Amino acid sequence: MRRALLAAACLIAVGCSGGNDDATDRVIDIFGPYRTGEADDFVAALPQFELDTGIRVRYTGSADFVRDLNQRVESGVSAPDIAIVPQPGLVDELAGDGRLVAFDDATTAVVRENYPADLIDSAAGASLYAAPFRASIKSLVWYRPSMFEEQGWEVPSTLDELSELVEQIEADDGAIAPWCFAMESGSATGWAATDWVEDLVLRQAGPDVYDEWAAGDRGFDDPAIRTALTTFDELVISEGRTAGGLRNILQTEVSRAGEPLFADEPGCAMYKQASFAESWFPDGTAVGDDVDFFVLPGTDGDEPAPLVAAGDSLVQFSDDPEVHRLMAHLVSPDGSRRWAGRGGFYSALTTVDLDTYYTDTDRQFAELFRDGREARFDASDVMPSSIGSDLLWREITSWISGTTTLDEFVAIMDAAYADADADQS
Amino acid sequence: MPDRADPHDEVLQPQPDAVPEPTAPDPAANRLTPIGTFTAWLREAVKREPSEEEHDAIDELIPQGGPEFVEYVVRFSLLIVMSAAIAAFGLLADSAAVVIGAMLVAPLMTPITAAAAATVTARNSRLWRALAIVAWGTMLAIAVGWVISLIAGGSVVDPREIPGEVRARTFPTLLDLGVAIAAGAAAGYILPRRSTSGALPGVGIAVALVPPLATVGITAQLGLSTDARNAFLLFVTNLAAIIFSAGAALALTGFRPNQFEGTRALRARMVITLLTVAVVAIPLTFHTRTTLEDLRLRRAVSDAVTAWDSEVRIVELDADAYDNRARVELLIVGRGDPLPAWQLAEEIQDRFDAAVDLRLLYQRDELYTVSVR
Repeated sequence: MRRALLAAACLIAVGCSGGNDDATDRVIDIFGPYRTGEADDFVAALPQFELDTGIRVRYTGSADFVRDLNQRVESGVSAPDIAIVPQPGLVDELAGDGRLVAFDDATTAVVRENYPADLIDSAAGASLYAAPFRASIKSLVWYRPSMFEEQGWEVPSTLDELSELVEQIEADDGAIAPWCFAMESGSATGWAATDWVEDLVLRQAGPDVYDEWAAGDRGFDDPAIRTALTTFDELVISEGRTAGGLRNILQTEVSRAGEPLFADEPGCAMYKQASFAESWFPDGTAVGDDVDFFVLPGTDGDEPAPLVAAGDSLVQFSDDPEVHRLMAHLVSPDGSRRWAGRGGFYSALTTVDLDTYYTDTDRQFAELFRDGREARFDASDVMPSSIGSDLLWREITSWISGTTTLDEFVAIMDAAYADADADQS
Repeated sequence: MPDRADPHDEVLQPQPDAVPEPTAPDPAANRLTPIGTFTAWLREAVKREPSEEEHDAIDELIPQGGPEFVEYVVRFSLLIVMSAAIAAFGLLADSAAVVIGAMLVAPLMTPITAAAAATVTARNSRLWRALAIVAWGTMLAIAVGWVISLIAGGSVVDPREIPGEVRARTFPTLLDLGVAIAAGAAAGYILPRRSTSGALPGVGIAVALVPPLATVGITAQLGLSTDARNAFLLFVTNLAAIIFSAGAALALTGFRPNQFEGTRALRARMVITLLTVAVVAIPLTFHTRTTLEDLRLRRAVSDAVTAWDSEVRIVELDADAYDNRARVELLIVGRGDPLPAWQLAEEIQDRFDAAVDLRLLYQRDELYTVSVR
């Protein structure tokens, strides 16, 4: 369609040659994790760029993004021109292996102008290889206020209250399970479970332990991590806790996990998923009315609960002028303005007006970041990608499915860390 | 030179007592469009008077009153209920044989062809009576489908995966219109000729009336309003096309209105039925375009799979195109690990030039989902 749009625009503008002297037949390939509706949201920023420059852009989004990107890069011939990478650990590896192309001066200037210095992963004057793009909060619990009101349930303010609520929901109504939870996501199956565990580690053990664990200085066999894994098992995985049970957890796609919450006869009361889950809700769902959210509570109800956050980075594999030009567009506010207007997008951009750039819901997410509470990046995404974005996803799935025990699971993870350390030394 | 007066001479030398010779071809016909010329030729070629027996055959389709009419309506209602019940169970069981059985029991063809005959002979009271019976049968058949789906449907049918026999009746195209026109013409030809009535069940099978109505009831009960609307469109298509083409066939075989202004009345009625068919053809045209677009997508997907990996085999392909996007679900088997699914999705996009959402199930247990924009 965009090809047709371009052709039509060229005709209307009496020839593309006037404003698009540098138009070529080159197609720029962008590779990322966004699919279906999110893919539509992402490419909403592209037609204007294509019309302005005459450059064609193709976006491909894969559920097996990490594995596919690694294959594409290692093949040496099919690397995309630009990628959107949710794992900072993978970005570091790609940069360390010399796979990434440094941004040109124009792009670097746009990034430095629009993002806070502490989010830009290089000192002033040094080359820049990645730019922040879309951010998300993982620590949200979605629920239907009308259901809570009808059933007399109350939003919990501590983890203990949450446990009591889960018991109460299970006892109150056999048709409504406490949680909606599912994790099938191709070769990335398991990430939805690691998000749960990360939130529990951050709450139960605190930010310092969390940082040590994310950095690989504290193993999976550590009591703090074991406690979080056990809590997750009791709270969410145990029989009766989740709509559809274990079979549904393992077989249903992550993006469809929340469907029972929105069914005419709801199958679950709560759905813990990131801010981007808004894109997966049924069409016409009004956040704040049909569905609302609370931050997964901490251990102390008087302190604001901490946040596990994530963020996608833009990286570049080609050194062509057209690709630099597209990257400069994507990192600017114009690169996400259309998506922000549609909802389901916010970022750390400092130069946009919160009130007009974002939707009401996304503005609430942005404000959560600004109220001074503790926030940490998704630990599994910070870990080396071979561990956090591969082994951990696979092994946590094996543990949940009952293929391995907790002891075996933590032993496998720590052995992998030990092997990685041995390789480095 | 043929011994014939020059038409110009006739104008110059009027002959007031002369009676127009019906057999002489009108030179004005030379100025008609090709269709007009063909119609004039056909009119001459088939011009004949239907026999009394043929008139009786169409007059006796529906009794005109009294106890016979009441008896007819009772019999008609019972047959509708039974055929709709057979159809509904056959549809839910996804059994083509059972659905064909229902077509043979269905009594709707009689009042519809009676309506066609009443249209051609311009007998309004008979037309309204026939249409009222059709409307009654329509409501009855839909209700039966609805009730049977309510009782049995929920336990045997998943609304997300309705049986093929039901689905086949929820997306009528111009092909269905073609079938209905051809079958209606056959009905119009067969009806007055008792010797050929053995062929009538064939018409009933070719252009089914009760199964689409049972489908309306089933899909409405399952909350599938679009499918219900489309199944009703299929019924209306069949209804309009049969009345039109059966009427045309009866007119061509000599049936005419008895009234003084007969020809004009016939023309007006045929134009109205033709317009109804044209109105029905509008959504059918859209459906046909969608079907063709789906077909183009399926070819693009097949070609893309071959280009992606010539060693694999497509086991199932479900693809539809809408709003300039393609939704593709593929079940593929092959040896060893598959090539990356993103490459297949891009191959499809290269060929179909639209947004692609691909769900690839490889060896039945490996799922890959990719979107290309």
